[in-house]
Amino acid sequence: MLLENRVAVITGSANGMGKAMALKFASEGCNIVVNDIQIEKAQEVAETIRAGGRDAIAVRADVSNSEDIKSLIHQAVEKFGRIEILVTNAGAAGGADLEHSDEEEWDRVLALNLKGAFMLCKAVVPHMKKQRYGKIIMLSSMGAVRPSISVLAYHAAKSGIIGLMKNLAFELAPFGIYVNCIVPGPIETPFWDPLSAGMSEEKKQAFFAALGRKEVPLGRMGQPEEIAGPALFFASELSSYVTGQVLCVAGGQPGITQSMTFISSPESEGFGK
Amino acid sequence: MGDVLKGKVAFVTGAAAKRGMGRAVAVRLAKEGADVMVTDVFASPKSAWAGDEGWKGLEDVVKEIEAVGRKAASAVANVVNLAECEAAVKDTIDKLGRIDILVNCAGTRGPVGVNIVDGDVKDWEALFDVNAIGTMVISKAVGKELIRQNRGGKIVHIASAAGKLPCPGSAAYAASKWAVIGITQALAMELAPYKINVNSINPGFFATNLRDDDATMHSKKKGITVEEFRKDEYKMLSDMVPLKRMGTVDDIANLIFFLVTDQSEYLTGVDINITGGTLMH
Repeated sequence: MLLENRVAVITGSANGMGKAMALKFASEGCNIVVNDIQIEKAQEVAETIRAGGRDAIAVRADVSNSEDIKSLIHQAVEKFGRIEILVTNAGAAGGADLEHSDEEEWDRVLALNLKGAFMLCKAVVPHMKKQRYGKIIMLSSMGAVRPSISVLAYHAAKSGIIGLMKNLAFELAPFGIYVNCIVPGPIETPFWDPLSAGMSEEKKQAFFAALGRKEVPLGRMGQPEEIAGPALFFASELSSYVTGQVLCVAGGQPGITQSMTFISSPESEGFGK
Repeated sequence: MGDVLKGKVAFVTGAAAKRGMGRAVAVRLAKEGADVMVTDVFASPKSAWAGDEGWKGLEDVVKEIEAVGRKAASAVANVVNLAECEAAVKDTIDKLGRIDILVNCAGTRGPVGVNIVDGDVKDWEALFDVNAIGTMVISKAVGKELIRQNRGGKIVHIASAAGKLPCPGSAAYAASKWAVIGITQALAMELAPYKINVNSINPGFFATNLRDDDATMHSKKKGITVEEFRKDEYKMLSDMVPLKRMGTVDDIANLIFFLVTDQSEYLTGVDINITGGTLMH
C-alpha cells in the first residue's frame, strides 16, 4: 500500500481523471474527499470507495468560488483531521481564438482553471505546513506546452498552473511539501463531450481512434487510469526527491508525430458533420 | 517484498558499484518481484568510501538479488561494445528466459573543472563513448530483443541535471548527457509502435561513487580526508537544493520502479528531473 491511511482532497473527482485518481488512491489505502459540482456522481464515487473499505466523503464545491473552497477544506479537516494530498483537478475547457475571445469569458475560464488552484493551495497549505508534509498535484494541459487548437483562455490558465506549481514547489520545499504538475495528453473523458457532441457513439469512437493514431506516438488516446498512475507516483513516496516538475503523460506527446494538429484540421471537422 | 514485477526480467547496466544507482535499482526491482541481469564494465569497481574494501561488485549484487528470492545473472560487458552487449542479452534469455525492462545506469563523469579551451579531445571521446554511444549501443542490443519478443517493454536511461544546464568546466559530461536525452526521445518515438516506453531521468546532486575521483583529487589538494571533503561538499550542495538534502540511490530506485510498472503505461519520451526541486525545466 503506497498511501496507507493518508487523506486526499481531489477536486473534480466525480468523473474522468479525478474519479480514476480517487479510486486508485483508495485502492492504495488512502481516504478520499471527493469533490465536484455534480454531487450525486461524487456521492457514488464516495460510496464505491467506502464499499472498498476506505473512508470517503463527497462535498459539493465550485472551485471558482472562494467561499465554496473554504467550506470544502473545512469539511475535509473536520472529517479527517488532516490533509496530506491535494489534487487540483477540477477544470473545464473554455475560450476561443483571439478574435472570438471576450473579457467575460476570459475571467470565467481563468477563475475556474487557475484561480481555483491558487485558492485551494491557500486553504490547504497551512494544514500541510503544520504537518511539515504534503503532496500537491496540479493538472495542466498539453495545450499549455504545445497547443493544437486555439482556446486562448484555457491554455493561458493551464500555462499559469505551471508557473503557480513551480513557484509553490520552491516556496514550500523547506516545509516538506512537494508540488508537481501533470500534463495529460488526449485522455478519453467527458472533457471531449463538447467536441464530440452530435456524433453517434460509433463516430465518436472513430474520432478518438483517428486522433490517437495521428497525434499520439503511442498511437492511441489514454484512459483516465493512465493519469491516475502518475498521480499516484507524485502522491506517494515514489517521488521522494521529485518536486517542481511538469510531467507530460501523453503517450509521447509533445514528440513529433505525422499529423500534429489533427483536431484543428479539416479532416477532424469532417467527424462533426 | 512486492510482486508488482513478478514474471518480469530486468536488465540493469552499471550495476556493480557499491554506492551506485545501478545496484540500488537492481536490488529494488528484485524486491518488487523481478528477476535481474546485472552488468558492468568492471566486475568489481573500486570505491573511495571507508569500509567498502571487501565489496565484490557484481558477485555481491547477484547475492543480494538471490537473497530476496529472485533469480539473478551477471555479465561483464562494456556498453560501448555491441558484441559484448548482444552476448549479455543472449545470456539473459538463456538464463532468465526473457527481457522486459532495461535500466541503463552505465555512465562516467570524466575530468571536472576543465574548460573547453583547455580540454583534451581524447577525454571528450572517452566520455561520449560511454555516455552517449553506450546509450545507443545498449538500446540497440536490448531494443532489438524487445521488438522480437513483441510484448512491449520499458527502457529507462540515466541522463543528468547536467544534461539540461550549462556546466562550465564539465562540458563533456554535460553535452554527453544532453545526448542521452536526445537519444531517449528519438528512441521513444521509434519504439512507440511496439508499445515500448522509453524515458530518461535527470539526477541532480547524489551521494554515489560517481563523485569518488573528484573527491579523491580535491581532498589530496586540500590536505584533508576524502570523508572530510565529502562532508563539506554535501553541505554546500544540499544548500542549493530546495529540499535541502542530497539525493540518495533509494530516491532513484523509487522513481525507476514507477517508470517500469504498469502505472506509467501512457508515459513515454519524457525526461524527469530528480533533483529535489533544483531543476524545474
